[in-house]
Amino acid sequence: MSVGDSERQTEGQQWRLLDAVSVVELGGGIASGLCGRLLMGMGATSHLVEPSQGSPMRLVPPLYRAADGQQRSATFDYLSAGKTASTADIAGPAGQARLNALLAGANVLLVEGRTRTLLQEGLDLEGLRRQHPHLIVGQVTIFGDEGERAHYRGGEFQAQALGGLLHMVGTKSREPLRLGGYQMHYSAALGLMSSIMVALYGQQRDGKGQLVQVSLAQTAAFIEWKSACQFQHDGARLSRGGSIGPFILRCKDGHSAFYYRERNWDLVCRLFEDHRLEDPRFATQKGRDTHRAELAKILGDLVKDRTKREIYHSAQTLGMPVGYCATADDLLTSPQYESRGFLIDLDLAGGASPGRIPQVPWMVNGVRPAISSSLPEQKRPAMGTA
Amino acid sequence: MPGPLSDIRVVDFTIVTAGAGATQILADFGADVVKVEASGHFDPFRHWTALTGSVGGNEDTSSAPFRVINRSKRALSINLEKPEGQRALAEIIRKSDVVIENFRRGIIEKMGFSFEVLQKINPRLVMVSLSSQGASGPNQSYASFGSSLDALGGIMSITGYDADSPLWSGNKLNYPDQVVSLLAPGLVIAAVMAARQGNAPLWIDLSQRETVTALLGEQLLSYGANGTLPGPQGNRSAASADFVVQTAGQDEWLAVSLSDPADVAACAVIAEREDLAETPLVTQPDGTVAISEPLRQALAVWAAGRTKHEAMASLQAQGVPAAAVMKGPELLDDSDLRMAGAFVQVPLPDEKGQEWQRGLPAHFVDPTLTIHPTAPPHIGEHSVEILSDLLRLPTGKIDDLIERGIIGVNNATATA
Repeated sequence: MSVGDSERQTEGQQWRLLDAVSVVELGGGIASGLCGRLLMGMGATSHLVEPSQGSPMRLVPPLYRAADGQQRSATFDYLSAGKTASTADIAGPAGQARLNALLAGANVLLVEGRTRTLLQEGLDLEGLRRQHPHLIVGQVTIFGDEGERAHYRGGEFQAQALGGLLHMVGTKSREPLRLGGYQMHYSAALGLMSSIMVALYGQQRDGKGQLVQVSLAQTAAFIEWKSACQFQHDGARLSRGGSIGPFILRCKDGHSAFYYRERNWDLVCRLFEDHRLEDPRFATQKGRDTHRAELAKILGDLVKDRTKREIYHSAQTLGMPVGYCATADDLLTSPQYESRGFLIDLDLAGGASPGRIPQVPWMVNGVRPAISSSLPEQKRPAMGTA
Repeated sequence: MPGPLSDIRVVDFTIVTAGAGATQILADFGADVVKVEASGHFDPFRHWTALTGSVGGNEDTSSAPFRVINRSKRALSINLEKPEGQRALAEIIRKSDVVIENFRRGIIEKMGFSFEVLQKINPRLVMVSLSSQGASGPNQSYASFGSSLDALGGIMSITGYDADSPLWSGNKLNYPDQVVSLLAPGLVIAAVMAARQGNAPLWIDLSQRETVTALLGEQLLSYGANGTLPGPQGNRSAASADFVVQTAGQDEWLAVSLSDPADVAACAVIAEREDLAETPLVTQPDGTVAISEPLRQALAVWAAGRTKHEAMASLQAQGVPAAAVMKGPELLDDSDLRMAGAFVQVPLPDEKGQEWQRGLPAHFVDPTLTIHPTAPPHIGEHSVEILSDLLRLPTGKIDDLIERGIIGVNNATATA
């Protein structure tokens, strides 16, 4: 299949930026799963090939119990919605034949694991690329395909550590802290998707396939780029914590992320109309930074009986970039998200929806890309039955 | 050799990180990224002092972060308050594929370049707007910085030492800006491909807040299904016993994950507490997994006498997932990252040498897809070149525009 050669789409279909692009995801993984989903949001189709015993991603937390009693992975379900799926054990000739048939009609293959590990499992990546020279292959590892640490064991947590990101999150007086969830897996997916698009674009000119490799550790280093560059510039050694940034204040129903710019101080005073803020020590930004702990205490006192959304909207009305710590519940009930059609009910065939998932985070000409919320049909024994 | 994107031209209004980081990736791959700075409103990142309080100089490329994410671009300084400036820029847009901006909603329209206007100038155009919460909805005009988006997007709600203390990623990391800058290049390329197929004009409305939430999709689904609200869990996780231990030195740590009895047994042997080899991993009330406190303490004692790299090597040799918590300066010397192309040499402005900067987010095995970044531009450094090459204006006309303040030229010491 080729990228291109499309008639002008109707307005309702304009969100399909990619025409006739087909993705095969082999085995299933968090990074490859999101990458496939993002490409689907641009109009591609994505097909998941699982081993016959099921993708390991079906066991990735968080887990939940569906209405039929089956234990399911919210991670797998979120990332697999809208995809088709089949099984193939690639270590054997039948599975390899099946895979080759799929790849003959595909543009992109997404795999997770080192080249040599995949070979041990029966997938000859280099042979595959020779057989399908048009293919853009996106390969995800934790620590890299080659290198001193390529064989190391580890995952999200170790990637955040080795990429320098873990060192930068948290407070100065405590241990380094991870970003919650699967941020390096997901960030790797973002970088992989953009890199695959570079390869697809280049392929229009030269028809060549490409192997694009991304590692979670390299992704972390890419995201955490400022501390290395600043050190090189002036020897500064950046670390987590510090005295600037938002005040995270306890409200009646959660936390306000109270952020103001230096020029907003009069607005802060106007918002609260409290004489304590008129203290001369707070008259300058330098003073406010010097006496930050005391200022935090006063602000905390001023917001503790108010809701976080009340502070948010009041401050934003005055033009201050204040936020609030949105929980999953806040996000699912967000009027902003509702108005933009950002969330969709996951469709479990034959049963009530267990919950909502985000769509892709962009709109095209005012239209949200419509990825199906149906899960791929299960064609093999379910996992984790009650 | 020109890069794969060399036939794409981008009119780049973006400033600071999220947008400029995206266009940096496009520029690295050969796109002609024309960084537009309106007279008197230069990219504030040029003099960004938030990290350390100092830029180390007064020049407009003194800020190291600015140099990184604005490399490989051409800079145009133009007075958009004058009709002639507007007309000149409109002509450049007519010869371009993409206009990209990350202003607060309403600003690009006030500048005279709304999507309605742009599509009249260039019906083949792709406009990409990176905004806090999107170009529609009740909060569309709300302001934000990365910190607010940590909070509003939901990542703060699952990051923190304990449930009562959510934390943001910090202004040094500014995670929401980074993820948008990774996502946007792919979107831009796909949109250009679609536009060239006749599916134009196109306006891509990318929400930073939605981007952060899209990286938490499983948390939302889990909450909807389970009713248990996800919250900060420190370094713990539901898949394995994750924790950090302090190693020798100042603020040096090791990140360890134990997921099965073999990991536990290996740790016990390494820590010389074989008696703890069969202590089970325990699921906590919050769903996370923990090792026994005696084993954790034994490992801490063992680790305290070793560097983080020694400890990492020892544990990994026994198959235990463990990783040194690296600091920024160490990344530059890391051989694995260097091999993967995580850092590249980039010329400094004015031929003052070179510096190491971040490379690409991925490694392309085809060697023809290596990048060759160029120095970041001074304000208006390419104004003359752009007007000459793109608009074919004669020298006399260009000189006249400069003299009348319609166009600005190389002004290294200008400040906003």
